[in-house]
Amino acid sequence: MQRERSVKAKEVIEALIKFLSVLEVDSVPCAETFRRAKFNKQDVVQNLWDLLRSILVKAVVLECKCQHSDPGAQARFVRSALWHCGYGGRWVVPPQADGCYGDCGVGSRELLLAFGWMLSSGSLLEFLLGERVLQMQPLALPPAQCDKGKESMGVGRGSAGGTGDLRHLQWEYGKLRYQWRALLAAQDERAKLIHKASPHNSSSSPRPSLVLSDMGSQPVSPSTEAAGSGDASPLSKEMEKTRRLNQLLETYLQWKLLEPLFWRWMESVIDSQSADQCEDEGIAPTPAPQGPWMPTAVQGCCPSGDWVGRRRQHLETLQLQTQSALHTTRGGSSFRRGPGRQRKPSSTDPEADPVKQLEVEREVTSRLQGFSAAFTPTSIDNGFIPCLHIQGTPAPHPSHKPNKHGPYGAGPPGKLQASEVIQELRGREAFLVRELEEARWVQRTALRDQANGLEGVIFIPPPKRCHTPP
Amino acid sequence: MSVVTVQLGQCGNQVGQEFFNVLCNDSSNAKDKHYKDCSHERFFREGPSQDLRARAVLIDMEPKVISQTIAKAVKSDKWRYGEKSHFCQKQGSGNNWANGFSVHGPKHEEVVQDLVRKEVEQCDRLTGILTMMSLAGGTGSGMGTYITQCLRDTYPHTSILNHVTWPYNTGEVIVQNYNSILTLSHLYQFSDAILVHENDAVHKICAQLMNIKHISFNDVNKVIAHHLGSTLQPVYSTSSSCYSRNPIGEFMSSLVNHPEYKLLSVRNIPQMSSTSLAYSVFHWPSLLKHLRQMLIANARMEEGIDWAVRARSVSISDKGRTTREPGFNKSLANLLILRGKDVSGAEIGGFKDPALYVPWLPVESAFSSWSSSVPFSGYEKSATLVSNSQSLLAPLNNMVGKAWNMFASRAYIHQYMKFAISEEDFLDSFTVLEQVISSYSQL
Repeated sequence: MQRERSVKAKEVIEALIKFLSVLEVDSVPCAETFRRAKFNKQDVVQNLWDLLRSILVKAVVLECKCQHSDPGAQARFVRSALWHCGYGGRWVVPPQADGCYGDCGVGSRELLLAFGWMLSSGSLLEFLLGERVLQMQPLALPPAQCDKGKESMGVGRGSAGGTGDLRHLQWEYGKLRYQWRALLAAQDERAKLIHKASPHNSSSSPRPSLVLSDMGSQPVSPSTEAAGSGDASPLSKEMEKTRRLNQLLETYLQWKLLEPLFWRWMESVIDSQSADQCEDEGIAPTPAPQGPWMPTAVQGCCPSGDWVGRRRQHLETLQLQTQSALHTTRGGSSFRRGPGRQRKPSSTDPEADPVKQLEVEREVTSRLQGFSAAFTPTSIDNGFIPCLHIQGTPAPHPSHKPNKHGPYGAGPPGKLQASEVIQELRGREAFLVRELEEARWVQRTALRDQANGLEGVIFIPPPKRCHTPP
Repeated sequence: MSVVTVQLGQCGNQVGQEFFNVLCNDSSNAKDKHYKDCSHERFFREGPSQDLRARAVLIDMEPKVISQTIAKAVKSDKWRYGEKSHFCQKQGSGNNWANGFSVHGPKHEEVVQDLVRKEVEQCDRLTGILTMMSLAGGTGSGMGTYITQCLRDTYPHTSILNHVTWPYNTGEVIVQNYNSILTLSHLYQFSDAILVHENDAVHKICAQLMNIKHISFNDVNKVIAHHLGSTLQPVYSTSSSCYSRNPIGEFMSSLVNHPEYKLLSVRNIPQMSSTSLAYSVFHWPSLLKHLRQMLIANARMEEGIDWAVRARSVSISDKGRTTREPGFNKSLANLLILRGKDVSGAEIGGFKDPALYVPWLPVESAFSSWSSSVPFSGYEKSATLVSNSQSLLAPLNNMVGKAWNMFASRAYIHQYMKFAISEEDFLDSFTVLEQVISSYSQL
């Protein structure tokens, strides 16, 4: 069992490593390094420093790139970058006066945790992926970089028009929809043209001039065409690029599939960290070699694994207790149902009146329904906004994905699962449909009553509701 | 950047054939190679022997019109339809919308979808689907409506432009108003834009501008095809310096962004018989002045325009008269397409008058203009105005009124109920169209 798990972990880490190396991150260590770092081995410290540095170099835009020659400067850079990104590990916190971090204090596990933190906070890998894709295919669409100034201007102008506001917004929305369609069509076309070019290219006797004339519409520069008539090198280059891009995306996909397992493994790293710390504390209660000052986040960060574990256990016992209590209560009540309901606060004799009982039950049900309706978010307003993942922020913020590092700084629930959203929306839909049905029924009765009151008027039942266009 | 055309029913097939004829004649006579190539890529593909094949699918329930259409195309010797891109049956729909919609449509859906898919697969980039049909018939309108729904499902991200031919006010089909309201109301939900040609208006153009004595459907179709061609042939949109690669999309996004307003009408100037064309000289200022007044006064041709109608801002300046100018046709959005000589010098400021448009949409959004220096179809200069305006309000109102009168006495309803179109469906359609009427009248 244990062995199986470790094999799995190795696979997962290898997927990550593969992805990092196709992202062209320098100095990616092997999977064994990660494993050794989990056990805080000293020999891999340098590897992890290198890894952190090369990722941070890619992610953080530097004003000057002159200072990574000696290891000390590297370490300083990694520290300050992490600090600016919001990582509050003990070893990252800048010293008060002496200007010395005390390098020897940083174990490989600490560095591994910092690495995990970087992955978990924000969308570092996605950002790197986007950058890389743009590098490989300059014609690809940059991820959602619209002209915000222009957009807001366009919307703002309509706000003068009183009731016209909404219609203007609808108009602008329609325009965006058509633009979106145009982008989709352009992507389709690209894919088709590349597909057209590829079979000719991969075969050993390409006829590039024919291919290019097929592509007629594609803006092919004359030089390309001239070169193309000689050999197929531009096309094969393009092909190679596309292949590499595909490979990149595939490795990303592979990593995404395995990511949950990686986080489970990271959990175990945290656990071993906290276990070590407990031992340490048993021997030397106040080591604190880093100085007296320490932010709260750091304190929360260290014993977190243990803390989470204990909380979970506590919650589990509580749940068990609740369930058993519930069970006994339910069993008891059903048992009591036979002889009669002494506990029911009623002035009349409860046994004698089953009709009354039914009525009460119905009342209770409707009350409950009313409650649930009143507390469905829909009934108040449409204030429910699924929080979307914001892409492309180079500096990650401490919003913890696997929420383990800082139980104190958890903050608002940032991301929602699609399934949750769907469930939520389904609930809202059901509620709205119910409400609609009710309203319709009321309207219909009212209308019929009114029509019946008038002489010489025939009542034609109102039509079905018409579907809104997609 | 290709457009796949779906020709449905007798009317759709006949108009479609004329349409491709106009396109092919125009582009093969054009001296600009780029224009020619672009037009060919847009509407034609290359056949097995390097000939032009229309990117079109022909559908009818009777074989007669289809074989005529195909034969005519072959006879033109310039282009033809694809070998296997048509579908017909032996039995027509008998001018019954319900028959086309509930019987023929579902029954032949798969075959038609297949045909369309084959055409779509031959496009590098599908910019839109153009369907052509009559509003009032059986196959075209009923089955066309059904097919439009299917196409919407299959191609959710492709723009669908429906071209419909509005029946004569005094048409020969007794249930034409029923068919029309059913078609329009359904199309309104599934189409992106509905481009309307009224037979009555086109008939007048034939009679008064083209000087045709005995007007046949052929003549009417030719005028419609001319309008469509001048709208859809390659042209520079303002923002770019090459022919648009997304013509239908740009067409839509300049005219029909708002989901409540989808009815488009076309005006074109000049139009005349080919004999008098040779002796005529045109000037942009005069053409555009006429076109503008045609828009304001809601006229379909340059003859008999009411010059007394003014844009609304004028009436506001008259004290005490803030109500709508009688006869004034307010626009939501307009697209002006200029083709021909000295097009860059044409002054289009008259169309940028805010008084022509609704107050809630800035003129920059409401008005767009495209131009090309390549003359269209032998006209040295020509201007086409596609307009999303109130101009179809009166005919629509008229049609809904007539249909309602018949419906109130339940005339012919059983013919529809036979094919599972219930009274409630009719009521739905009336509701939708009343909403359209009210939206447009409140512009």
